[in-house]
Amino acid sequence: MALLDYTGFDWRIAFTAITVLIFLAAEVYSHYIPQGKRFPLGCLVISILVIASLWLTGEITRTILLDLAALVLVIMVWSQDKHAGKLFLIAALLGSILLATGMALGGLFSENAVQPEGLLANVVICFILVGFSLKLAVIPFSFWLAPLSERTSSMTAVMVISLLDMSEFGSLISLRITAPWIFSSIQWVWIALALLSMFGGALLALAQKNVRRMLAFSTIDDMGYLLLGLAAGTVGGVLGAAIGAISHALCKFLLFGSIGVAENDLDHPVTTDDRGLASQHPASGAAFIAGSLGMIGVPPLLGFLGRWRLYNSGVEAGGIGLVIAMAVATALAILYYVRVIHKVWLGQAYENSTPTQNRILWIKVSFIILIVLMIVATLYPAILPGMGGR
Amino acid sequence: MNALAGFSLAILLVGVVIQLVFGRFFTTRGKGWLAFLFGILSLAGIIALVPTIMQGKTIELSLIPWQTEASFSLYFDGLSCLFALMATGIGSAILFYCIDYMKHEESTTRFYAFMLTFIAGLVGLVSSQNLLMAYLCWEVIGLCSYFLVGFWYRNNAAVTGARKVLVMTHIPGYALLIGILLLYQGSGTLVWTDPTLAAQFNTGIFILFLIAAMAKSVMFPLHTWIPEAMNAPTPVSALLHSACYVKAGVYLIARMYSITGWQPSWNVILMAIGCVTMVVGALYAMIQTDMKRLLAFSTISQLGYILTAFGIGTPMGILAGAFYVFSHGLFKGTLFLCAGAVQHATGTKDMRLLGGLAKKMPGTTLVWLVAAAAIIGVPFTNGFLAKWLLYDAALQSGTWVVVIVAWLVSTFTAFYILKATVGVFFGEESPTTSSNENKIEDASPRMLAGMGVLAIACLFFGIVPQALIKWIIEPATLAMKSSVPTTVSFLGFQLTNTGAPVTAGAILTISALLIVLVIFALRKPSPKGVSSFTGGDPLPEGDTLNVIDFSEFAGDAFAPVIKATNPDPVYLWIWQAIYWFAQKVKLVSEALEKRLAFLLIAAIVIISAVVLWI
Repeated sequence: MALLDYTGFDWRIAFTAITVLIFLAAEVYSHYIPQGKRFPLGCLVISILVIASLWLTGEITRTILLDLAALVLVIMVWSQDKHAGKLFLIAALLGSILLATGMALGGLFSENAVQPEGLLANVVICFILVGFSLKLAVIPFSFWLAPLSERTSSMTAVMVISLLDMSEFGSLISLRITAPWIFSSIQWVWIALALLSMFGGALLALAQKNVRRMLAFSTIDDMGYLLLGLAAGTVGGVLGAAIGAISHALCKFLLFGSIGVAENDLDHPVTTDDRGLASQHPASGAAFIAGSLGMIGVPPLLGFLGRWRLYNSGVEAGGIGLVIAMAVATALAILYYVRVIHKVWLGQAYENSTPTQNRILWIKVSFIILIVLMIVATLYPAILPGMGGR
Repeated sequence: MNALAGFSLAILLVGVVIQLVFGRFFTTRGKGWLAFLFGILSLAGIIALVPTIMQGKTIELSLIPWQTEASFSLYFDGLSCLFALMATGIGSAILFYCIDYMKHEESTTRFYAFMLTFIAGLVGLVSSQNLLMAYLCWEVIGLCSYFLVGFWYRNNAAVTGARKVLVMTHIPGYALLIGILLLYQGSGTLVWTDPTLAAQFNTGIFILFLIAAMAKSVMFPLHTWIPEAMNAPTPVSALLHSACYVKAGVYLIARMYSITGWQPSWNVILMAIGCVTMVVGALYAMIQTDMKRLLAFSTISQLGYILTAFGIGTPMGILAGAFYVFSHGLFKGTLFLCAGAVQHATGTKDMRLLGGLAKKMPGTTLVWLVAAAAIIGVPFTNGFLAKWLLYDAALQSGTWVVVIVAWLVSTFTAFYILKATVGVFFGEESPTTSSNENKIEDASPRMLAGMGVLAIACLFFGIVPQALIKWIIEPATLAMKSSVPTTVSFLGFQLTNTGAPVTAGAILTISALLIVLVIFALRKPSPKGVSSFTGGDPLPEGDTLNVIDFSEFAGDAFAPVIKATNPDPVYLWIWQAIYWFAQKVKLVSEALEKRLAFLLIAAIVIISAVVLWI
């Protein structure tokens, strides 16, 4: 609600719609391509918890609901890969404890929170900063995301990144408005972390062979931009971060979903040694390209609506130097996405897999719907809740 | 009238939707006809605006609110009209050509959807009143270029070309976005017609815009993507990489004249870039043996002319630039379509494998000859007028460097175009063309009509240039805050601007051609002569110099310059350095993640120390 008052953008309605869309798409996807034991049920539970966290009032309720969602996801991840599950558990547990401690110390669970004074304020900031960094996989706390993305099913990764992470980011946005002192008093630390994530994520993504790991680092990279919008704290910056988070959620479905389709036929993880996958899977190739371009913020995809505002907030917060740094990081992002698109998807195929085109018809339909939605929302943002005239 | 301003854009977008939704119900040709229909309708929409624009008026239309900071609003003035006419007019002719050219291709729904989107994007770009919408359209046409170059996405060469297009045009595009945001920060508006925005325009913003424009308009050293883009279907090369897409950067530069008070120092920058680009493009064109690559480098060179004309900055220079923009679109589009017809008929665009096609493809040869004459600058063609106006502007302003460089490059242009003309259409038939004797046929009537109409326009505007200048070019120059320097009549004779520069301009243009003809005649080996190309041995009976001889000669002669002006090794080095650094970062990251407890504790301690210390 605070976001609605501050920016005119209704995060609750928008993210509820995104959650429902991703839930439906993931259920369809798992119907045709198995995603692990009891995935459909887990997906339903997570979606309900995320939506409940959006609509039930009270900071403590929201925190508990999201922690429950994280717990369900830890169980799902653990059942697919113990190492990834262990790392995810550490991050989720430690992040939750630190965050809850910080919120409690700062009195942020109550509605009429007052900014603490002196050292306590800084201690609270420390707890919250590290807590969110762990949950959102901001560098240097990103250790859990790459193994999780690599070793779990595509849709499990989507649930973690698109729903849980972006919900947590929604909480951070809310905090940015209700307790601005957490950001304004150490703005440059937030900006430094954002830049570290942007450049670190981009360089690490560029160095990956495994495409799922690359996608994990691209999330870390993108998180840098989103944090920068919050660090700037302007209406445009916060709005850009919120739209960026929604775009991120949709794009990650397209990216992981398309890789999952190809892996299902290839029977091995997609790496940069693979070639010409779009020959067998043109719709998945298109989805991957659309997802990549959306992540970079290329118009006319939804990411652009967020990204230009984030750039603008970069100008406001750090002048031309910061915005040039952002552009350089984006150039790196283009390089790693283009590298995968052109090495893995386009060009002549090395090996012939047997495409399950008929089976994945509805997956293709879900890809197309999401792509069209992202384009329409960019050209006519009034369809985004509260974005009429925004 | 205002409502009509949106018609063109709207009808093109409707065309895209219809292609995507109902494309499956049409044959390949049917889709082509459908695309052509929407192209023609959009052209009609733009033509309907011309009478109003000719009166010096502007047309505005607010479409949708879009965002608080920027509504979707259109603004047509003379400059918008010039570029929109090019996009829809040349675009329609090319779409007509496509009906037969693409009839055997798969995935034509995708093809036509992107072609129409591209035309809509360009119309949107040149008619955007707010800069953010312009940036959106700027990137949309960039994406269309990427997807159309990579149309044959199973072909490695095509996708490699597409990758280069995306990387080299999209990344510099951020300079445009940053420039726009800096203007927005300073003025609080994104509407470029707002005087408060103009007041914020400074040399820094100019440089940022110029970087983006250079990449789109293949200016040295950001030009190396265009030869790789030649793996696209030929209509794409004709529409995007000769007539329209590469003109987006030119539009941006021209529009800066409208937005702000032009500073003289900017002229020097433009002329320097333009002259270098003109020379580099021409030198590379001379050494090509691939017909489309030759035309691609020729585009680089010709765009150098255009930028130089705008760089001269006088009313005559601006007039020359605007006239050249339109003329180049016509003759280069025609040349590409002819190259496509040759490739379509013979299966190759390698000039070493071609020859003597005039007998088998007389229609295509005729069209090629007209366009070739225009690009060389033969009188009675629009190319002659364009060059004449440019020389005239350079002479009047006393920019002798431009005169010399442009004249030199004109001779180079004549060389490489004659090389292509003789090598492909005249002389003896090559084994490739003669072995396929029964298969090689002239372009279909529809293809001939598509390229023929452009060739006729080259002649028409060469003989009656006042039509183009009065209706289209003058309003464009007025939109660029320039005055109309002269009145042009039939054949380009200027009625109010007489004197030495005018005559000298014409002499320079014609002399470039004559010199080439003389050198060609002199270098033609006599049956008893000794050729320098054979190391002193006489040429075999009946043998003549061919494309390979010429390309090797040019390649050897200009080798040091060609090596020094190739920026690709630098780009490659940058990429390798980034990749090497990324690998090192990965090693460090992996090493840290193996010591998870240490990583966590160290990170928490450092962050806490920093925060608490503050």
